[in-house]
Amino acid sequence: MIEIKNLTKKYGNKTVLDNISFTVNSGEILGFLGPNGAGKSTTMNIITGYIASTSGSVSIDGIDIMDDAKAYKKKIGYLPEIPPLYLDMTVREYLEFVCGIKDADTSCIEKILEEVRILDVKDRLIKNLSKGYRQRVGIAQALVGDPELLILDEPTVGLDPMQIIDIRNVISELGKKKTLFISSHILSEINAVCDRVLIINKGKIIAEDTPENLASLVSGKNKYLASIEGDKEKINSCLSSLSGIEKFECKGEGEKGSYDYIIYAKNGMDIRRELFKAVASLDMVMLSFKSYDVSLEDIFITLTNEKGGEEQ
Amino acid sequence: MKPIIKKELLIYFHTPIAWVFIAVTMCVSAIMFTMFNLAGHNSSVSMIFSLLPWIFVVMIPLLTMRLISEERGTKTDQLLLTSPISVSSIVWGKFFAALTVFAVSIVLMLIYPVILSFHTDVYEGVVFTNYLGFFLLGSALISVGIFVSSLTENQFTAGIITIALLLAASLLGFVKGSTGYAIIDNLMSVFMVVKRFESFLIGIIDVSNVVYYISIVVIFILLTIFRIERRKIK
Repeated sequence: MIEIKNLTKKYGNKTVLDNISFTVNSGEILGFLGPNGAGKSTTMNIITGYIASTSGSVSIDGIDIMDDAKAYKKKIGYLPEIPPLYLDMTVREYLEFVCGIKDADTSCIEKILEEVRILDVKDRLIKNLSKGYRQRVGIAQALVGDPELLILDEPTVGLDPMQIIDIRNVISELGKKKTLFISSHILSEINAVCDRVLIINKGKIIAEDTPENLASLVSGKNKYLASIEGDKEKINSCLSSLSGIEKFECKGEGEKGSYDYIIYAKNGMDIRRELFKAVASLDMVMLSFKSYDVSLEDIFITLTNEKGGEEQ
Repeated sequence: MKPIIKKELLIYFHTPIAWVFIAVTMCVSAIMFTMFNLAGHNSSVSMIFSLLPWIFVVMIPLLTMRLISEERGTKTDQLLLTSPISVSSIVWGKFFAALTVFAVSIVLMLIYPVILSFHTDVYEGVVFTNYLGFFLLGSALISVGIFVSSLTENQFTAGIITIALLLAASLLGFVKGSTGYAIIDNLMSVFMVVKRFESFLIGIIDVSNVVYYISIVVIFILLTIFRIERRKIK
């Protein structure tokens, strides 16, 4: 759907985007993750035609913005980081205006109001709405003209937890019908809704995969947390004797008389049965055992540190 | 362009801007009408009309100062510039919206010649020329205001710069001829936006003045479009 090739953006001598390339496939929800100032908004602003790139190309369904800007822009619905709202207009007036500039029929307004659940505030001035409602009005304007692609820049930033859940539900519903490209610096958000994740740091794409594959990238798949009751020396010799364990480290004393361990299994090996039997045979007790859930936070920190280190 | 005009008019009349503009211009012109015409027993409206451009120099920036700068400041330009509408439609739309509010105030001022016509002879031709002059002068001042508004994100800065520019251009009329250099005098006459209005005031439609005002509008609107397009690249 979107094809980005060798995109570079420079402000004077400062390179904000450094030769990035990626594609957004039709029907997918692609997350765009990166710390503040990494280049997320700049990328989105270039894709939507708000600013021009220094070099590189962007095309949607084969249409380049330089060739046919009008047809190109009709394919996109964009919610910038700050929703572009006219506070002195009512919700309905605002959406009628958006219909006008997007060359869309105003008959779609009722359906959109229903879809983003703002039917009850349609005649209120936007300046009198809460932040959560304003964000929904922002999403509503992006939906005008029924674009195939929605680009949402930090759609839940600045909202309270209830409003975040609301907006996420709206986004999940939209994801069933449209191609979504969502940026965020909140990792759990991307994890919750996206099929695929791009991680950007200092203007470069440093990883691109599904959240699950990215998790295995930082060796979370073979990592376990265990709490074992017994003598520390006995536990260590027991773990050393098991063939499926590559290495382990004791994190210290946990509950009284027990020790917490991080255990790394050899690649692809299921150590659970062997471990449980060995511990029981030495008259020790396995109090808890679970695989180590690698969060996107871990992936993000690992990847940004790795790449940062390489650069230095 | 139509949705932009509609949106701007909606904002003008939802906020006090248009009302204040119309009220102040009407109030000042009414005071002058009372003083010069009613109390002064004068049948010519030229006295009011000769002073009104100075009021517009101060009041028109009120109409134009937020037009582009506010869009930038509140980031609503992200909606406009990512929509399938051209930059020229956006800028011309804003220009015509401001011109509409201005036109409302000068149409309301038709009441003065109408009142006078009950008591004395009013020369329709002169009145028409006066109003044509007003319309052209207003258009030129608005286009300058829109251009200045595109230079900054702060609408008050835009307003103050516009007032300063328009006042400077108006005051040039007083120093013209005093420099002793023909080149400088000719150069000055290019910028004397208000001075050109004087021929309309005495009932003369000078084609060069009409072309001058239309050129000012086209030049400043094109500069505004260029400025917005350029910012996208920078």
